[in-house]
Amino acid sequence: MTPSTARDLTTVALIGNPNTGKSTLFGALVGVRQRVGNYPGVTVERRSGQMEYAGRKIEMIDLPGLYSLAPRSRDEMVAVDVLLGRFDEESSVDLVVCVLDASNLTRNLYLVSQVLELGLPTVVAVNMLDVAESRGVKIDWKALEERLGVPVVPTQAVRHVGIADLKAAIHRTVGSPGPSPASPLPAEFQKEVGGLETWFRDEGRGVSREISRFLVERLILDNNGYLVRGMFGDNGEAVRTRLEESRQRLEKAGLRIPGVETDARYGWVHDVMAGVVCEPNDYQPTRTDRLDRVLTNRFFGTVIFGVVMIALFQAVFAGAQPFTGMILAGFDAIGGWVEGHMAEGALRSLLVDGVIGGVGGVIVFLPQILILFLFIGILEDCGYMARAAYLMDKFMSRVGLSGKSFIPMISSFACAIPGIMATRVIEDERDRFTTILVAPLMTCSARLPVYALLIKAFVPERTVLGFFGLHGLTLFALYVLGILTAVIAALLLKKTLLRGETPPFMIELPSYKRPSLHTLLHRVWERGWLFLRCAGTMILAVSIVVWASLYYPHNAVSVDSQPHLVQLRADMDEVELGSEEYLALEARYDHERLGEFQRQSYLGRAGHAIEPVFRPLGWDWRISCAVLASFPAREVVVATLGVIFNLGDEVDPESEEGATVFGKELHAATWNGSGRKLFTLPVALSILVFFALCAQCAATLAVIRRETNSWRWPLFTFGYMTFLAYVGALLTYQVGTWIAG
Amino acid sequence: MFRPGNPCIIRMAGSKVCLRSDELLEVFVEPTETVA
Repeated sequence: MTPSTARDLTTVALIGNPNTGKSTLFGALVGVRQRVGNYPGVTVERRSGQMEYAGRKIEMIDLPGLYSLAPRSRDEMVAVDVLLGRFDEESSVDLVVCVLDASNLTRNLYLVSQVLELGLPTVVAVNMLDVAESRGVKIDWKALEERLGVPVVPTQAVRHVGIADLKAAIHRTVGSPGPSPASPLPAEFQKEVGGLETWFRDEGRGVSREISRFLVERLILDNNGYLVRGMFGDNGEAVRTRLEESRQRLEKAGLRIPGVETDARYGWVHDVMAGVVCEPNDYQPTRTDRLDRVLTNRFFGTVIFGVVMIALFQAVFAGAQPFTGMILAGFDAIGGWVEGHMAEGALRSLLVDGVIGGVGGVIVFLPQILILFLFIGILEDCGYMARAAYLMDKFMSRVGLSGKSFIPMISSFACAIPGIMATRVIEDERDRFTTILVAPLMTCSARLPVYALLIKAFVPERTVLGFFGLHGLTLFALYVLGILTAVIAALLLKKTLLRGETPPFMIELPSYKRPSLHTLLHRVWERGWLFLRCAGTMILAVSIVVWASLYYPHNAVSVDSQPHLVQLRADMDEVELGSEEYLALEARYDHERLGEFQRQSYLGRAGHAIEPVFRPLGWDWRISCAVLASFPAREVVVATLGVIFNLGDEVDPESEEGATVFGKELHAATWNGSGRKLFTLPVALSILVFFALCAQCAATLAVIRRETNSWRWPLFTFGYMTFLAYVGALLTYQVGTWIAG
Repeated sequence: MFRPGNPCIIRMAGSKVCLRSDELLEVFVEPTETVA
């Protein structure tokens, strides 16, 4: 949104604790389904949507879920900045909607007490009525509204209950004067805030803009220095000294910092709730409690977690099979049709080999990617992710991180970019950077096409222990490789470059709930569309570039004058035209001629130049070319291999080993000028290990640059991951070849 | 206390929280003098 359009719209910010159904409410209001997470911190991006009510256009901003407005992390800082209009784009917020969990009003009202002090027009939406009712919570809505001094609307967003009332309340309240409650903080504290306000106005040099009273209050309470660093950077020495003086005076007056705020606000919450909210005294164990007895058990919980992960990888392979076959058949038919209706030449080659072969080779993996996103979405939405973080915290703390780092890391299974962005909830910068640097090692969905292609082609399809397929287990092993490498890298980083204490850990375990089908499907669709858009743009462009660099200069005179081709041509002339021997020689001639064209192409020359670097890994110039071409995005390697190894007639369609056309083509490939197979199991495994550990993703590196505000860290990530990938692939090939004898 | 240990899981006001140690505890834990 730009400032100009902002003035045509009413801007409404949605704020609330995590797990209050805020994102579902947002979706219900704006009519756009949003990502809903069950663990704190999933909403780290700015999300917005527009709605219209009674002729008024409203821009809704879904702020990150947070427990208080005390800025201790980027999420909290973003929320404070939006509410105070400190972002240029969000020049001002016209109204705040505070979303509360009806079953947990005490804690949720703590945030309300802070929001009301901002003086903005506010509407309170008390959500999740069904959960509160099932727990016997009773609320006197009218009395609550009177106590808070702002409209209160009961809602159940998941069933669209109360949404119309909420829209009407927003419409009524916009433009009205905001609340002006007396601050619950003690008079002595208020006096100190007033003094500091005067100091900033008169003597606070280096302060570029006016500081609101709310921020002055927060600066005094911010004894860990996050806000001072965020506002003044390294130039806030005078401010720090002045703040310390204030804190010492308050301590002397018996007001401890920051505890004074907790005492005061909970005092206010109790006053608001007295006689208004009735909660049962005796606690009845819930279904969530019974499930947690098993799922958070150290032994059973860990075993179940392992089984869930293995099931995920099995489903990715087995569930996608029929759809993969259908897509493959579709692209084969399109390629065949184009081939049959066009004259031979550069254009036909471009369409069949470059566009259809390249893009089709990647799109064929769409079903696997969709199944992966569906699984991760279910785990997030049902509330299991937070339990996984709890189970992993003990392990993570041993490598100097916390369970909070586990959530971005597991998100990186889908894509490293949201995973890296999810690290914003980690307060400590060193822990955040460590998590960012190791997140790309987690197996993202872009690696799946490479894995799927090579595993299907080269790993025998056998059943292990009577249940697990060897394909699924190999995939699982690659995921484990990524995780273990990430853990070791984190451990080393925390002991060297980013040395620091193990961070504290706190995470809310939300109630289990049935995932919303609409939300899940929307998320899967959103991700699938992103993938298709990528296939239709960047992968298409790279496919064409790769095709062109492999096709040109296409010097037929130079190719046909090669001695081995001249000899073959002469051999053909000596046998009877159309005989079996002639046909065999002709097939060999065509194959070797095509190989010569590729060798003489621009990409072939580049591949030959770098082949010595990759030869110890068992790779020839063609694999080297594919790896080079896949720097922008690792999934491009599949399209590149498709273009390079499109060997036409030599593919044996009856071969049982290759389940896909690509697989068959790769199986048939040989080292140039010899009958020696190029792709052996050690070579395939070395490529798999290389792609498990490499940083071939320009988008991820760009996000690391943005999140760390420095080129140093993306360069470091690329350097250390490429080194690990090379060494890993080298060891895999050499040891594999040695074992194979 | 729902599950002791480190990290532990404690139950409060209808929700469960997993923690080791954290400043945010100040927000989650209601001061005893307020309750009294």
